[in-house]
Amino acid sequence: MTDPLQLLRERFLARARGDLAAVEAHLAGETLAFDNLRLLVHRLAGAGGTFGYLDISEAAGTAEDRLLTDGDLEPALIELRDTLARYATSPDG
Amino acid sequence: MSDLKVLYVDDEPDIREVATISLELDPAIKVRAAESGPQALEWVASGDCRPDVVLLDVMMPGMDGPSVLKALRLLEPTRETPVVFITARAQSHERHRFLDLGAAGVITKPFDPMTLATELRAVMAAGPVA
Repeated sequence: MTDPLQLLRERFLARARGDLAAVEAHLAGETLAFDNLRLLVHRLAGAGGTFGYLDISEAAGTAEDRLLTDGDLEPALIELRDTLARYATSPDG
Repeated sequence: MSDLKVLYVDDEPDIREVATISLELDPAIKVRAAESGPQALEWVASGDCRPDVVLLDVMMPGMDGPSVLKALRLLEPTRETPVVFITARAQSHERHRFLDLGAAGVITKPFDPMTLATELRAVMAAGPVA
């Protein structure tokens, strides 16, 4: 029988690949609106660890902190992009 | 012991599903999961759902968790129902604000699917201590 959590993990990673594309576009100059970027990183921060990807939660949490405190956002988004990219082709990174 | 009826409110479908599976690992917990605050409020107002506890995501589009809590307090069935917020790390520093709003506690995301039910029961047992 298929593990239901494994199916949810796969769906999370599929969604994360879409988030990766959005972060890449943002870094390339197709700037996301503040609220959309906040929602994207907030969701990743909240969900990643639940599906076994604590590094995604941590990278997204750092990005959200920087976003909310007017900190240096770009390095945090680059770290998030690189973290998401590790899982883009393999669930084991 | 009677079942603990949990109304879980979260706009993210994957998280709703994993939270439902996680909470129901405790055989005495039954979960009803709503995709938005308005949907949860409609269920409560219509008498379709009488939860023993509401587990409420904070950041949702449209109507956020604190607004849902205030609305739940205006409905007779949930006037005194314990409400536990569940929120990502960046908002966990707002714990005091959530407790001041009348929350029974705060659970931080990401949660561990294997221990969410235990964590919820622990938060409820501890009560609203900042």
